[in-house]
Amino acid sequence: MHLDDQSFLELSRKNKDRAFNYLVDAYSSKVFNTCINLIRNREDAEDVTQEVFTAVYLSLDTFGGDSKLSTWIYSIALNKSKEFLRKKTRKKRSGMMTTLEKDDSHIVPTATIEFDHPGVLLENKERTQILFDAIDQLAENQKIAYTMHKIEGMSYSEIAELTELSVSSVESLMFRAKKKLQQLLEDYYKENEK
Amino acid sequence: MNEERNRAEDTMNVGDHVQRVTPSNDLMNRLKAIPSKVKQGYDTIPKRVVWMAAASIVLLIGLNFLSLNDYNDSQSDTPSTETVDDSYFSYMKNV
Repeated sequence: MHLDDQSFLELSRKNKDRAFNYLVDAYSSKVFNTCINLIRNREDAEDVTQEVFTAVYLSLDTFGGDSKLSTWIYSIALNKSKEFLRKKTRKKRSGMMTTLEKDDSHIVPTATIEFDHPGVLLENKERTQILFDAIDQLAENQKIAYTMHKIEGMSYSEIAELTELSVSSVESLMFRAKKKLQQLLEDYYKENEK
Repeated sequence: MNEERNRAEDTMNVGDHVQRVTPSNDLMNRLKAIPSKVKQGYDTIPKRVVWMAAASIVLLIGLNFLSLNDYNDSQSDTPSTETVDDSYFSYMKNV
């Protein structure tokens, strides 16, 4: 069953739970993939997806159809994923500070999130992890634009709508992200050749 | 130099091969259970607490009305001819 936004709004007014069930069926896979591509850990992505849908259910009454339904859900997924990653980064930083105080030895920061992405083929796992580590070093908006476009397969206009930026801003973000990634990866391989 | 550039490009292209993941049945069940869990959350607030909160609000509004009445009475007791300027100058004279 596919409903356009107007029919969904009518259903939502008549029967909130049925409308919510429709949303779960129609968007759970997309939301979960958005979360897992940004978080890269199955368990954490599942928890964040649950948070996203809880937020959707709680604010279903306030959704008036001003934006597209898909944009509204995606933006909640994006914000929840960002929130989760910021919390993780904060924990990682405070952990590093403790280690610095205890030990003067050279510290190689390790990712706090264990890489567990079921969508990555085994033969590509190592290189994908290198790519994702490099993506993590990009500025947050570049990281989101790059992941959404290259991994999720979203168009520039879809990303622009979601991030409330102009299409040209997204293009420029992508250009800078690609350039920076290329540089980061070249440096990585240079270091590892030695 | 060229080799590193090629390896970097190859690695960037790996992103195209990341496949879509199907949510597990467990996740789907958790998502479908959200409405009942949210409603349960509302039900678990004890009725006594709800009544206490309602009574507190009524009491607060009542006290506000009483103090407003008192204030109005005290305003009507003071002579209407005295303005803010008068009271200010009389205060300044005393100083």
